[in-house]
Amino acid sequence: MNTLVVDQVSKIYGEGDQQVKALDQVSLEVASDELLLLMGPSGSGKTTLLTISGALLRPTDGSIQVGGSELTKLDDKELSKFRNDKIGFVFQAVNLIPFLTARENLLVVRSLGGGKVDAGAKKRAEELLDELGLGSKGDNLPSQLSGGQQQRVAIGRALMNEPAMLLIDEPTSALDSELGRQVMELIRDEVKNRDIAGIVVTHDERVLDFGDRIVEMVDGKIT
Amino acid sequence: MFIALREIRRAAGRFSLLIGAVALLVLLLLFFQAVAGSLTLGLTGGTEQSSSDIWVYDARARNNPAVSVLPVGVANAVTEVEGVAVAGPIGLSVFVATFEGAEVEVVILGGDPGGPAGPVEISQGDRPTAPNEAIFSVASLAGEGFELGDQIELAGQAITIVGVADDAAFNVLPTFYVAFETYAAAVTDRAGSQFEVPASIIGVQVDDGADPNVVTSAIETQVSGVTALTRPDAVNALPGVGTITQSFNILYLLLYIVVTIVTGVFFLILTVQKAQSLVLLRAIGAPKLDVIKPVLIEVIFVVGAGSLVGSVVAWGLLRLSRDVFGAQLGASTITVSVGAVVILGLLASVGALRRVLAIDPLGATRKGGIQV
Repeated sequence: MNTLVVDQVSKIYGEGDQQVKALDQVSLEVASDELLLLMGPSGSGKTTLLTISGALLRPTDGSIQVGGSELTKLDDKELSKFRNDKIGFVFQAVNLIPFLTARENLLVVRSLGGGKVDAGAKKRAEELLDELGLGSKGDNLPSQLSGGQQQRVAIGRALMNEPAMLLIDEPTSALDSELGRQVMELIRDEVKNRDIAGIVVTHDERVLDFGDRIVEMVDGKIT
Repeated sequence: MFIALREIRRAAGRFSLLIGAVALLVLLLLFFQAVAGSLTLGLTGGTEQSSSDIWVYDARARNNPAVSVLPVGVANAVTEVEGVAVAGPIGLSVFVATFEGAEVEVVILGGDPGGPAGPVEISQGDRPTAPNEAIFSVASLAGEGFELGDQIELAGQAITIVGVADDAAFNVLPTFYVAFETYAAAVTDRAGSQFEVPASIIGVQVDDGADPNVVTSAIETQVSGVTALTRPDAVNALPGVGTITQSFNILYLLLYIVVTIVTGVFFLILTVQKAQSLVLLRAIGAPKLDVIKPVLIEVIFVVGAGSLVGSVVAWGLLRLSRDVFGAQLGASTITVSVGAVVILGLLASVGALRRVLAIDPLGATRKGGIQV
């Protein structure tokens, strides 16, 4: 069963002579428990496709369905709620709130949209931290964690609300080979164990063997 | 609440500094208000607490009781005006009296202490029944110094305090309410010759149900060479009151402006500093309310805690200095000031809130930084 269905999606930035076509009638499907690696040169539209699939950006044209919900029909408020409920994001640059501990970075997801940080949330955060090998680091602030540990906390935060889809942008760009492979292994295991769809945008050819499928983009099109 | 409380806890030093700054400003604000209140009360208390509904002045005195001179007989003319129940002469002047061997400046108010010349209420003792008896009132800024039963010597007369009235002083000086004859004797003794001592003003009590404003107009129409003011107008017309009030109002305004700027700038800087966190929250699905709420909670916490600390310190300092300083704070003054500081703090956070609302969640996907 496909979790993500992207159908003839285009995204144009700017107006008139300044128009840039970031996505050009892209179609893509990602099944649950499938890990897709999205590759391509800079400016090829990978991040745009990732953000449109994650309900962060609206397409100019086409249709996006995640878990059967048509994202183009949702208003801003509904998109926010959808992101919180259904999408797990791990961004390349910004991932953790510096004044919250590792545990609190996971719990904050549950406090959004009027949610409560109850005993169930605390239990899930502990389970995730244990699973990610961070059981003893729950009280550490991000500044007290290594790059790899921060990346794992970010993955935990993305999984906190049991999303239907995990979207990860360049997870290994700041990590050495060994740590990069460990993180990719973790992502693959989480996608498989939780039966969710996963898309990883990467330039890192060292981790290509972790994907179920590799899709390459050039000039806003899937090749 | 989840985010705000944790941010405050992790940045305790930064928030403590701002709370300290707000507390200092609130302390100054309340301290100035206590001083201004006491100073103004020392000037106006006697008029505010007067039993007279109307004060009648010499028309040339520009409503200043200190320079007003009226023949005692004017009281009879005023009594004839419709709506006037009682009218009596009031003499008002500063004298040097002797108390326990030391000279002391006092205000002597001469008139019928049981009629228009007396204070509305006395808190201790009784009203005078003899010429050598007085009701005493003190300006809080002038300190205590006199008690029930104390005697001062004025122009060879021993005057005994038989009653005490609160907050009914004139000219920020110890004030003695005596019979007009006692006042007249002091005036002639000071002048060194005998003459018919005039009144300073005429105090008027109006008939039950009569409108003091109407009676005031009637007095000015029917009695030549006088002006008349209702008691509230007489308070405002006292020399120096307007200037003092205006000066302190400028100080209050400056302090309120500083509170607003300090709070506004702090939260604006804080918002810019944590822009990445706010972008991340919006990107992972936080509705706008979830990023606004922490700012509002933090503003209320900072100005609330700052106001509380400032109020407690101001109250404590004023209490400690009560014997030498005498200024006091009323609950209503504290409530109004703290309420104004909280409202201004919230208004000051508008800039920070606008920045928060302008956050683009898409910024989380940019490598080069966050734009807010």
